[in-house]
Amino acid sequence: MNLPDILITLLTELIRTAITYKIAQVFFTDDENDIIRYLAYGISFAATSAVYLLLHSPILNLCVTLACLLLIAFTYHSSDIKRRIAFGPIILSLSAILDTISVYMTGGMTDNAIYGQVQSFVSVMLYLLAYIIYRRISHGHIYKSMSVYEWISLIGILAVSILCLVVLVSDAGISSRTVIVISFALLLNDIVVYYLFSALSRRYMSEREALLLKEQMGRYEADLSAHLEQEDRLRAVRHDMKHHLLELKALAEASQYDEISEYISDMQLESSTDEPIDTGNQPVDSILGYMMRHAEGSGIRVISHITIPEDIIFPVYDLTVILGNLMDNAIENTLKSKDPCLSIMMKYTMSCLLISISNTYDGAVNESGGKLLTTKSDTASHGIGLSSVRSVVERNHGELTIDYDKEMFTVKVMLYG
Amino acid sequence: MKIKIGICDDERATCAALEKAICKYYTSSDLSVEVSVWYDGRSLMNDLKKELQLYILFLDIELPDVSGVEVGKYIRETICDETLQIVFISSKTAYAMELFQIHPYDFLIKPVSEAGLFKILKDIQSMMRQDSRYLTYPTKDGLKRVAVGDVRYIMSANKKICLCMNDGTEISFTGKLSEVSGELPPIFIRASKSFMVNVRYIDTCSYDHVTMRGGDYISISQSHRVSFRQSFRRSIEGDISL
Repeated sequence: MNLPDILITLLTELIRTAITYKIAQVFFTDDENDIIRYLAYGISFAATSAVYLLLHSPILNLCVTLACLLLIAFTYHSSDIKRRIAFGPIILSLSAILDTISVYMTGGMTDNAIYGQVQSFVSVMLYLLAYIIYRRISHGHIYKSMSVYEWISLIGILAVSILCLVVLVSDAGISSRTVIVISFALLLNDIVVYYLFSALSRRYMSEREALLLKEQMGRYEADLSAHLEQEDRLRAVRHDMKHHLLELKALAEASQYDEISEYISDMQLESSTDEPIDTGNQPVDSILGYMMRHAEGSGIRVISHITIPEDIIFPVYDLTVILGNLMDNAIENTLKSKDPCLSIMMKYTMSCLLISISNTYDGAVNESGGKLLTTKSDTASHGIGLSSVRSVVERNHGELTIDYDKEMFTVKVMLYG
Repeated sequence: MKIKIGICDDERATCAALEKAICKYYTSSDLSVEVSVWYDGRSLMNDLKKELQLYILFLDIELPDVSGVEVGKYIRETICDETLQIVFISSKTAYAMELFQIHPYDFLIKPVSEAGLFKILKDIQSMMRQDSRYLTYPTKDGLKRVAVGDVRYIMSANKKICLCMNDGTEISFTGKLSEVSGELPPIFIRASKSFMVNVRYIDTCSYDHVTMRGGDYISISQSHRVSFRQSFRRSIEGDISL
């Protein structure tokens, strides 16, 4: 074996070990690496390469590989012992299958060293393909944000490279050096594409998280101002109380019972309009109370019918995003109408929560391809409202439906328990 | 047809007002009504052991002796009556989770508004009409029938249909689910190729399965998920019409 051959063998072995590492991370669902684990991978790489290059014995090769895989598996301490024992045989049989496929694809067994190299390239590509498929099936976090089409195109790139290699090998007119160089370039190319893809996915995810965080901060701000407002009103009530008691005392001293009774009913009326929503469910009360006072303050007629338990039934953050955004939209929308009116209905039954918010509006709907677009002038910042509701609803396996006619616009959200 | 309605509240004024409003509603209806009133939970629970055949019960949550929750639990768990429609009445708008686990039909806030009460009575009446429809099935001794309101869910396998009844019994006969489904009111929703469930007997509903009252678990197949959700949502909205 000459030097380039040795180098190529070492490189493919290194890539193989890297993919094995990736598979192990998903298989054992363990992210905490320590020095011993890296050492195990290093030993595994060195041992398998050495045995392959120095001793040309398939049996010995197999034994060493199995031993190395077992060594690697045992560094995943937090995993179940059965899983750790199963890891070696699974990976080994997978490699055997992939090797067989690659030999079959490149035209059978041969003593030619070049064919051997190309076969190992195809086998590595298949290994990478197997990893991507396995990761998809076991829902790795990067692929959650990836659509099926993106995933298929990634798989497609790999499949096309393998096809190229097969064609290249079966063509006798090309020099062996060209075959090796092109196939190696294809392999590197695929790995670069894969890493680019992962990096882009990760970046996309972190941008999304940042957006969500920003929105969450906005919600908390609304929540906080609701609390502050409530505090102010309580202070006002306390102040008024002093005044009311003095007034009542004066009336009692003068024995004006009819006036006392009238005064008390006035106070009852006032206190009943004090809290627009009182379900005992603190997050719902605070966000809806704030929104409803805001709506009534802008001259909107508000009708509510809410029967929900006091206990928190769905994640507070999700409920706040849904109610806050939908109420915001409804208030903004109904103010354009001649008769601003909105109704909110919430019903909890059979462990499901139905939220229905309807409002009168001016009849202008901006729809494109079945998706509603914002009618607000500042589209960049406002388009996020309904879409973030949609993503929260989807995360909870719920559904969002929008109905509208000429006068009424209704958004319904159903969350399942 | 006669409908029996019960009221249980320690405030006599509330009972009287409710009774009056209920009677007013039924004077313009083709149904006759019989209203019974209890002023405490204990005596109601004693009377419930007898065959009262109440269809609707207006139950105060804050009763002085035993709470509305306890009475509700007694109805659902001790005497196992799943068909009695309970409407909780309360002066508060905050409700404990336990109340929802009793599967009340609705909640009314004191002082009870006539419009709110009439809507509930109207909806329950149309529900009663649906429940009293019959499903006929063949047996060796000719055709027999059951009220659809007593059917929890329907199962089909190998050209056999099995009706799982409210009282825990099962009725089997030869037939196809598609033939039976035509006779059923919209409270029955298709959950999968071989299951139809009566919404009224659902305990909890998740996005991929339902748990029936009595504990049976039925999964919602992928192909029926969209239509199931649509019908289920309509039934919650009270849009089921005859």
